[in-house]
Amino acid sequence: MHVHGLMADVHSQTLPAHAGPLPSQDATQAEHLELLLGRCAQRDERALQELYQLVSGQLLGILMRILRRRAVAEEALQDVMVKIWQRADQYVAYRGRAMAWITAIARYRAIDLLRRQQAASPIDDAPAEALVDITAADFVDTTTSARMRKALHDCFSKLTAEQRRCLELAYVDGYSQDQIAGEIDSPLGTVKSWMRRGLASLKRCLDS
Amino acid sequence: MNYQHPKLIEELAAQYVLGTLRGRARRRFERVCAHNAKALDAVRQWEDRLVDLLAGVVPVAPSAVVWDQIKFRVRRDRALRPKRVFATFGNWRFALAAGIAALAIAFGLWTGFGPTTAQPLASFWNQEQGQLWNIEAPRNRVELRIAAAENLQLDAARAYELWALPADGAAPVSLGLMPKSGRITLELNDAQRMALSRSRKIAISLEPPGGSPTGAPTGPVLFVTDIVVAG
Repeated sequence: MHVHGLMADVHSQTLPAHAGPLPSQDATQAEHLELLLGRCAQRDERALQELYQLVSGQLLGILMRILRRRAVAEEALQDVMVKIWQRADQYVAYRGRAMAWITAIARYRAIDLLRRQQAASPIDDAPAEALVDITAADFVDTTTSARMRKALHDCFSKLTAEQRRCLELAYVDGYSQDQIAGEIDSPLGTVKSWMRRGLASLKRCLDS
Repeated sequence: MNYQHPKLIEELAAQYVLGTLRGRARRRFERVCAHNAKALDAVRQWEDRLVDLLAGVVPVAPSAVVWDQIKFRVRRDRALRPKRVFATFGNWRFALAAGIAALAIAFGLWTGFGPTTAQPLASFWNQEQGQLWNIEAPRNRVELRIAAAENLQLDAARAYELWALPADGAAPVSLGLMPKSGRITLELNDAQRMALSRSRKIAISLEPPGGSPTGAPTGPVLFVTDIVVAG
């Protein structure tokens, strides 16, 4: 876990009750997300609203980690939800978990926006609201498989501390390799090597 | 670069998903994924492997206006697009047989292959506040990127709706709601793009929260401005 400073334009808010976890088990909950995507593909606006209530808090947290600014992250969240609505029928061709598909849309949008944002201004510290807190994983508890989560956790813990740090900064915070090198005060070549080896180890471990 | 090499594909896919593949290399790899099923599958597998790293990101409640904007955009989209037909959820789910070819198409569509270069489209000004909004759009006008000036003095209880005014005198076509602060991107559907291409001017009207309930301007037209002719 790493600590970031506060950000001026981010204000602490409490999640509404509807953004809390779903009851029941992983499989059922993942199926529920798939069901909602299916209904979105049928142009059921209530399904989109329910999906929004389920995922918007988590997606905004993810977007704010990468984009830093609430206004930009909320704009990106709009884009992501509209994209999900427009492309829900394409989820049928995606052979992965619904949350992986949804999250990929959000992260790729953020990465695109980040490039424009960084061209205009330097990065602020990550918003305090969206800091990693492994005890606060209630939403993901509802949408991804506990078995897969444990597998990732176990494999991730086998990486070196440097590899973990580099991969987290890239994946969770949207850092470029140059930024990671600056953040952890290590040569770029070393960072690239840590990341390459970390990814290879992670793949070997998860696929075994 | 030999994109057929499995090890290279694997590394690029991992970096793509991680977000460290940037710039032209990122765009190039997206183009590879559009026709290389192995690359696309490698991306999908990395997405699935890594997504749980986000388990610890603390959720943040969005402002209420976010859902209002989404609802507005979706309803506009819904009103103007032909309805897609899926008989039952079961049919939809088992359409998985669509397979890799569809995956490749889907990848191209879901990523959108990144932004295209935006060009000035229009600006709204008034004497009291100077510039109010600036609008840019890529050449193909699939979206409008709208930036509100800082500290805009606007009616907090009303919506500011943007309209294309077709030069042939046809009815105005809504393009979306203007931001009261910050920046937004309005994705345009085919009907909106067509209306915009037939327009030399765009306008903003004052509407109830959520936008015009009728699909036509219901409040006063506050501003009309020329669309910049693409160079």
